[in-house]
Amino acid sequence: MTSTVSVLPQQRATRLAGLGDAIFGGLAWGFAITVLVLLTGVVVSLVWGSLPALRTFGFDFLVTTSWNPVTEKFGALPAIYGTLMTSTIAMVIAIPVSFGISIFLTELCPPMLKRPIGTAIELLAAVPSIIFGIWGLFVLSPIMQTVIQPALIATIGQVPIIGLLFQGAPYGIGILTAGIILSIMVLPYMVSITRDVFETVPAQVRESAYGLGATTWEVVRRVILPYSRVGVIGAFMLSLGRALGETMAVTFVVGNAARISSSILQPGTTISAALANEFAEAGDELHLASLLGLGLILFLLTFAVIGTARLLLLRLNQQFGGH
Amino acid sequence: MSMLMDPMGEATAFEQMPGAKIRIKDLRFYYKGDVAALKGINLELAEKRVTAFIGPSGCGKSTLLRVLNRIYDLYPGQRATGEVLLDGRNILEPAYDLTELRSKVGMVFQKPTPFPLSIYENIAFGIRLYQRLPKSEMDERVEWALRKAALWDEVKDKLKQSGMGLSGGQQQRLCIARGIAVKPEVLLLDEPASALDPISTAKIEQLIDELRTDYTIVIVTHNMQQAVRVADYTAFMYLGNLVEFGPTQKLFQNPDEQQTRDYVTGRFG
Amino acid sequence: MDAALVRTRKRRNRVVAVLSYAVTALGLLILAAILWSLVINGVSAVSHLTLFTEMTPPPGSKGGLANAIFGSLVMTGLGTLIATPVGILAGTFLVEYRRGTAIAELVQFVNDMLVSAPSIIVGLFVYTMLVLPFGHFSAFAGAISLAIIALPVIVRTTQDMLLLVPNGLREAAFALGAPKWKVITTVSYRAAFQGLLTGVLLAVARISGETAPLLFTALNNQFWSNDLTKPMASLPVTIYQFAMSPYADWRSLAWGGAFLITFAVLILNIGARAIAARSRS
Repeated sequence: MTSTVSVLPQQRATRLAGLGDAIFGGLAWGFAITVLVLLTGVVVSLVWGSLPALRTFGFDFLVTTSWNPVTEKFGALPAIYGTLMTSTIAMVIAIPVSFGISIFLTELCPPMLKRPIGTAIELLAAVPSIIFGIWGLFVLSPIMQTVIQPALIATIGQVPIIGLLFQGAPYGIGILTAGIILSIMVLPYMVSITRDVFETVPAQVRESAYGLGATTWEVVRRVILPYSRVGVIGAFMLSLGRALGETMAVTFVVGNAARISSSILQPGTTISAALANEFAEAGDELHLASLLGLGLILFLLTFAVIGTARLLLLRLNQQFGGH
Repeated sequence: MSMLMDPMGEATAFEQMPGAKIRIKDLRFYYKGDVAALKGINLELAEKRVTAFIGPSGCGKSTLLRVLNRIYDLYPGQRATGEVLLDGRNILEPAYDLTELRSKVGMVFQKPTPFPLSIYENIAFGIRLYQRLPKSEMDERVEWALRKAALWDEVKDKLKQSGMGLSGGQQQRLCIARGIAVKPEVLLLDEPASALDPISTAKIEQLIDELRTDYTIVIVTHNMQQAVRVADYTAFMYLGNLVEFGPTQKLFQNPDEQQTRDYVTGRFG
Repeated sequence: MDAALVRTRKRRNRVVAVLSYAVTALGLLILAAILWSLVINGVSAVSHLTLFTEMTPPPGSKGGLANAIFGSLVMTGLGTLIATPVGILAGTFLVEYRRGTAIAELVQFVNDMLVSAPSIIVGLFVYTMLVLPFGHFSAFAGAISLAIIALPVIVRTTQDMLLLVPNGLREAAFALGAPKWKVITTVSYRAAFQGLLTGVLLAVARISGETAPLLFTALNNQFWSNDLTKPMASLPVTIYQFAMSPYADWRSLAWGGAFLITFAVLILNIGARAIAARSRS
């Protein structure tokens, strides 16, 4: 009996420690699995929720253009078209601009300005997208309507074929305006990743190229870009993923008209804009299911893009982390 | 030339120093602010000879090398005062054309720095900066540079493959070939073998030996044996000052300064 | 040396440099213009103290944003309270328990996907889970959707910060015979504390401006509400509703709300950076 008394406290401590570890480790495991469960839950709920629409319309859901809650005919094509078109416009504008800013920040910027400008851009990347949306509605749209769109209609609008993209009355809002707002919104995000990727090029490699007498542009084009190609593509795709799924920057200015016009000056809609506008008020089951179907399409689209981007960036990290 | 004179009056067996390719006069260098990393260097680098800079870490030997093709210009805020005359013209003048300077003064770094291009394109990169050559001449020039760098036989069948796939020693010779291909007059080597294994190091040293007849070579090394093996002249630096400069054998066997003697005999680190 | 070639090269370089300066100026100008509009329109709205004391008004009359501000604080706070322990423990699992294993890599990859997932999708998910079954919108559903958006941000930073804790510290604690959970909570967490705090602050900043996931979870409420089971107003949703309206009073309030949110987000980000910078030095 005496011996158990002297051993007991230690045994109890060990047993308590074991219990503590089991609880703590179990919680950690459970919460990590939560991350996986969430993603699975999203997929399951979207598929399950959209089943009525998919059953009713089948493949036609993807390729028909009518979206009419009254007649209960739902086709996703206008929203898919708007999502892809606004994101394409955003990329066409944002890629060269962010590229130029990244060159400026890594190669040309005086060191005094490097930190302030870099920090300002990173802070702007954190500004909520609704701010870009409200600015687009109140400030950019009037400028588009009175200045930019009339100018486009009068110039490029007169050119055959390409001119078809720039026809019709200047509404201010529309696909083009939404694309421009998206480009402004993703710009800080894109620049901060591209700049980070550019800076993975070792200083001595840059110096070697400059040491041969290469100009800044030659160093960027022939050395930095090939070196960071994978990462730059990853950065662009990550930004594309963001543009595709963005709601608030677009909803204010896209016009929310479920139709496809040849002209990008005309109002349109995107998947996320349609969801934001109609979801809370969608009464009947088929309408709701069709909206969830839109959500499923958006999910698949963005996750394909973001997944590819993440894999590319992962490869980049391994390439340089491995050394 | 006074440094070359033997204070003991003994007959020197050393050759007369040939004409200087580069004359450095009262060179001071600042990374930032007023703290000098080089505190008034005066030095002449002989044409078509190998000069080594030795000294403990932080003594300024790499800094001095980086002044010679103004690579420090990439970093605003770093500045140099004094004169560095290349063939009589001061390269520190703002008006001195950097492209021209770097076509004359090539540089190879401590770690191999192949560009993410094919072996062929790595060499052609520099040539294209200064000349438009037809394909056949470009091929010849690339082969010439790779042969000069003793790399041709190892890579001639895989010129289209990435330069980054070569071994460390091969990469470093590729970088030397890339530097030579531009046909510079001066070659700066910043500890070119310190990241390499002994066999690759031996190959690089052999290569330097073969290049000495055509180029003015300046090599920074922390390996004193290497300086003895490859350099005609050696400069010993300490804390941003040039302590002693002279023919390599004299500096190692019979230095004038006590500091030099201590360093070359390993009595301080 | 082909002098003409060198001249051409330099000219091309100058063109690129000029373009690069130009787009940088353009980009900064536009971003400055956005902040400028925000300050000009926002400050005049915020300067009326009634903004903070009165409820959101019916169309065409004056009022404030008090219920929306309160709702945003409640839902952001609750979302953070839920996401923080879950996120920190999940990040802990990835670093302290299964570092480098297949399950950790999978969780990390899925987590990175969730970081960049469209927030409106999260709203849809929570709608089908917490709104549809109960038959009504609720502040609780809103808080959960914000928590789901904050979670991957916290997991990611926790992971990054715990990886910075030197292994020697852990080994020293283990060598004393401390159980694993004690080593983690007293050594790893303490060493990474400022980093973890930074992560939580960034997550708060991220969710405090989120609009899309609240649209069909918490919806909106014109009145003051303390009830988590009822719809609740929030600043972003109110901004959305008011900005799209034709009424000048509502639009002004929308600017005021936008100003408040941006201000809060920037302060949180700057605070997080300051903490991160201090922990580095």
